Parts: sequence; structure tokens; C-alpha cells
Amino acid sequence: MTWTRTRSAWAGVVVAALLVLLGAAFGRPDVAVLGAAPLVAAVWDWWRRPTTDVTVALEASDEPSEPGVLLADVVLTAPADAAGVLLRVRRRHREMSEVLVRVDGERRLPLSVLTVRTGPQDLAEVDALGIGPGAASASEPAVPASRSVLVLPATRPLDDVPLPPRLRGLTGAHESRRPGEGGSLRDVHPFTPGDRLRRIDWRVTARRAPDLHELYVRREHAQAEAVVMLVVDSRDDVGPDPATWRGSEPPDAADATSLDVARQSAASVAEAFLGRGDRVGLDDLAAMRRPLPAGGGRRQLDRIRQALAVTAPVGEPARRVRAPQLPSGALVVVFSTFLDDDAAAVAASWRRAGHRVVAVDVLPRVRTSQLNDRQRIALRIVTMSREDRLAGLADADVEVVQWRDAPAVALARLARRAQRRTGAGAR
Amino acid sequence: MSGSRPAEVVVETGRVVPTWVLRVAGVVLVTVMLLVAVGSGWRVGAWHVVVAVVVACAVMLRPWTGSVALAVGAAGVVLLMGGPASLLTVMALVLLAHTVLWVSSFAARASWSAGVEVAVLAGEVRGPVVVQVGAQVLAVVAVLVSGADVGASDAWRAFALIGAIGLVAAVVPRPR
Repeated sequence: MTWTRTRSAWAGVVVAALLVLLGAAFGRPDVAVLGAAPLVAAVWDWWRRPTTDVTVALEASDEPSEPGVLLADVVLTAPADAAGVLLRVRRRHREMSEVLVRVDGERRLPLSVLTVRTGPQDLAEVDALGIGPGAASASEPAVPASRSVLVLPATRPLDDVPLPPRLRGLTGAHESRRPGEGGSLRDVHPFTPGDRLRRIDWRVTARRAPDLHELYVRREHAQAEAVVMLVVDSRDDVGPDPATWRGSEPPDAADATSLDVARQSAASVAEAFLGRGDRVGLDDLAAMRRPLPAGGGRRQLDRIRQALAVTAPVGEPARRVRAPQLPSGALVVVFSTFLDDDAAAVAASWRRAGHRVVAVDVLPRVRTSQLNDRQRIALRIVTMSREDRLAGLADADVEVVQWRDAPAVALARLARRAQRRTGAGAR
Repeated sequence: MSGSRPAEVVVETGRVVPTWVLRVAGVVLVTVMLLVAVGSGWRVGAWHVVVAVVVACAVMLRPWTGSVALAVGAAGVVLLMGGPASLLTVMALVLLAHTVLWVSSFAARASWSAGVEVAVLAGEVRGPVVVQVGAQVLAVVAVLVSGADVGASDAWRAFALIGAIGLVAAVVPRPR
């Protein structure tokens, strides 16, 4: 690798040499000696300049990371003669950090990145430049190091969630209306062939048939599970600033976009249902591929978080002719910004087909302080049509939840509403 | 407010000196160097101070261009025009000229918002100090050769300055 003398070092050498010559020419050793030290130091620094490469790499960190923090290690190697390495860290083409660090052979520097974004993203891009002794020489820039990561959506706890009108199966965490075992008392019934002897209620039998001409058994409700389909609308990925909605400039890196909110809300809802023993599946309105079928357990949550993380808007989404087919009796939770009619139309069609549908509005809280008059008018038009759309959903008996306004409270309210509903199959 | 946001990217390093501190130090050093050079031949006035500060700020604004070396050259020319200087003035100028160039070299490597690890400066300070010991001895010889009037007190001050720089050279950590 070539180490070249810096411009400031060249200027120092030239001026120092001129001072020496000037002092000699005018017979002034006091002037000549002024250039002596810089000249000697420059020659010495140039003579002991390094000759080998500076390298930089970005490696995964061994430290456990917290939610919202990405960790990595910057590994620098430099010749021992180098004064240091100038490290520049960029993220999304913006310079974030620049520091001249000492490197004796090899050094590992922990790097932490705060992010509110989820999904695939570049962790950082790191440049390195070797600085020679006395900062008088510099190496060629090392090959930049970068690292891509997939950030899984974090979850937030939800106390209670609504259930579908029909439960499935004979096992689960919820009590169904069918007779069976495991639930609370359904009724007391005369003994029939097939009833277990341990189900006989002797007190009731003694009261109703003291002569034991008939036996009575206690019957219980069966247990059942709910099937929930999460439907994410990944066609939109808009931030809080409406000026960026055109797509000409990206949303602020410090702002969570609607897709980040959708990923987090879907993961939270999935965790809440799976924690109760229900079955949860995932579909994407923008993708023409098979949905993630409903399943249960911890691994299903991992699958859903992974699928949510890789969900991203890709090109122009194909227009759906009809709503995707879902398991019968499933609760449908649609996560969308509802900035156009498609998601609302699909949600309404599912409701007409008999599903209980919850529409989760994932549009972030809009920031209007930086908008000009034209943008304000445009936003007002968009907001009015969006409000009409959400009102239409409510009219179609689709329950709407704003994720930006205490979603746990809103979902718990929906859960209580289902309990009060006449004929509701779930408790 | 964006100012209250935590840094998005943090690289954990040792103690760091901001580059702007190095540049401010460079401004102070260049100003003192120019005033010492002027003081060798003329009485320093207020406008000298103003000009020296303006020149120092100008050269340290873009240190990577080599403009700091021009300030050193200017100090040498002023010294040449002012006639033979005293021993202490020459020794001070030798020290300041070298220090200014050294500080500006590091300040020129990074932007205003960057930082320089203290370990980098500490590891590199030994070389200039060793060179400086020889330069100060040379300065004494040069003043004696040039026939300037060197009194006993000047000789003791020179001895003390060289001794102090030599002590610093002995104390600063050696590169491993």
C-alpha cells in the first residue's frame, strides 16, 4: 500500500527549508534554526512511515443486544508504526461518527446503532484511513466494511384481545359452548351410557333420586382454540412527515414508519394470541404468495416475526381481484394505513363473509409543523378521505383500532364487547 | 428537538479530544508565535494582536491546505526583518513553530465534528519532543554564532528550557 505525504506536511517541509535557506543567505542562524526542527521531524516521520495495509471489518458482536440497539464490532488492523487510523462511520449515506483512534496491530471497537426501524437494513458502512507518524503521511483508504442485518419487530404486551365468534377444536385455552371436558359447569344431566362414573354428582342424585332410580352427572363445557389471521398491508411505508409520502425523499431515520408500526403491532397481537394457546397465521395483502398457515406455539411466533421482518413494499403491487381466502370462523386482524380503498374493501368483504374483522390503523402520528400551505391542503384532502374510509369500515361492522392511541386499551375494550354480545361463542 | 436526540451511532473508543479543541489550540499557538516574532523587533500594539488573531483564525480554518506553514514562514520573515533576536525569543519561536505544525497536522486530518483519541496524541508526542531538544541546543548555538548578546541569566534560562524539554522527552511513554 502507498503511504503519501499530506499536503500540510509538504507545506511544512517547504517552508522549513526556505527558512533555513533564508537564514543562510542573510547570515542569520537564528532564522535558519526556526526551520530546523520541522525539517528534521519531517524527514524522520517520512523515513519511518509504514508500508503495509490498513484494513477494516465489521463483525457481529458477542454482546447481547437490547431492543432498538444493534451491536457490532469494528475490527481495525494497522501497522505498528502508524500514528492511528481515521475511522468514519456512515449510515444511510450520512456521516455519523468520525474519530482518529490508536491501533497497535489490531483493535476491536464496539459499535452500537440506535434504530426504531425494523426489517432488512444496513447496520453501518465504515471507512478507514491510516495516519502515519506525526500525521505527516496517510495511507490509501481501506476497502469499506459494511454489514446488513434483519431487525425483527419487538412486541409490546397486550392484556386482553378479542376472540372470533366461533372457536375450533376440542382443546385450547378458551371455553366453547359445546359439551365436553375441561371447562366450567354446563349442566347436570341424567346418566346415560358413555358417561364416566367419576362424573356422577352424588349430592344432586341424593336430592333428586333418593331411591337411586336415576343417577345424575355433571357435564362441562369443552375447551377450544381461536384461529386468528393477521393480514399486513405492506404496500405503504410512510413516515410521520407527509412531505415524504411522495417517496422523493426517505422518511427521517429517527422516525418509525407505518410498516415498522405494522410489524410491531402484528407481532404484538400474534404474541398475545399465541400466549393464550391460539393458532395464528399471517398473510400479506401486497404479496401474491401463500400465506403463513395458522399455527401455535413459540416457534410460530418466531416464524411470524421473521416473515414480518422481511415484509417490505416491492415495486407496484398487483391488484387483487378478490379478498384472500381465510380459514372459516377465523378472527381477521388487518394492519394498514388505509390511505387507499383496497385494504378497507378487503376488510369489509371478509366481514360480509362472516369473519370478525379488526382493522388496526398503523399510520404514525402525522407531523404537520414543517408543511407549507399546499402540502397542508393536500394532507387535509387525504385525511378527509381516510376518515371517510374508516367510518365506512365502522358502518360495515369492522372494529377499528388506532395503534398510535393506547392499542392495549382499545383491544381490551373489544374483547369485553365480545363477552357481552348475545350468543357469542367465546368467553 | 434534534439536539436532544441520542447519537444514532456510537463507537466506543478511549478518551477523545474534539478536533475543534485542537484547532482552537492551534489558533492560540499561531497567535502567540506571530506576536513573539513581532516582539523581537518592534513594540507589540493592539493592532498587532488583532492581525495575529485574524491570521491565526484564517490559517486554522483550513489547516489541511498547508496554510499554517505559511504562518510559520511569516514569523520567520518578521524575525529576519526585526534584526537579531534574544536567545529566549529564538528558543520560544523554535518551540512554537514546531508545535504549531505538529498540532495543525492532526487537526487537518479530521473534520470539525470529529475527535482524536488522546492515546494517539500521547503516543506521538515523544518524537517531536526529542527533536525539540536538539533544536533548542541548536538555537543556543545559533544565537551565540550570530553574535547576539547572551547574558548569564539567558544562559541559565536556556539551560532550564532545554532541561525541561529533555525531561518531557524522558517522561513521555515510549512506543511499544
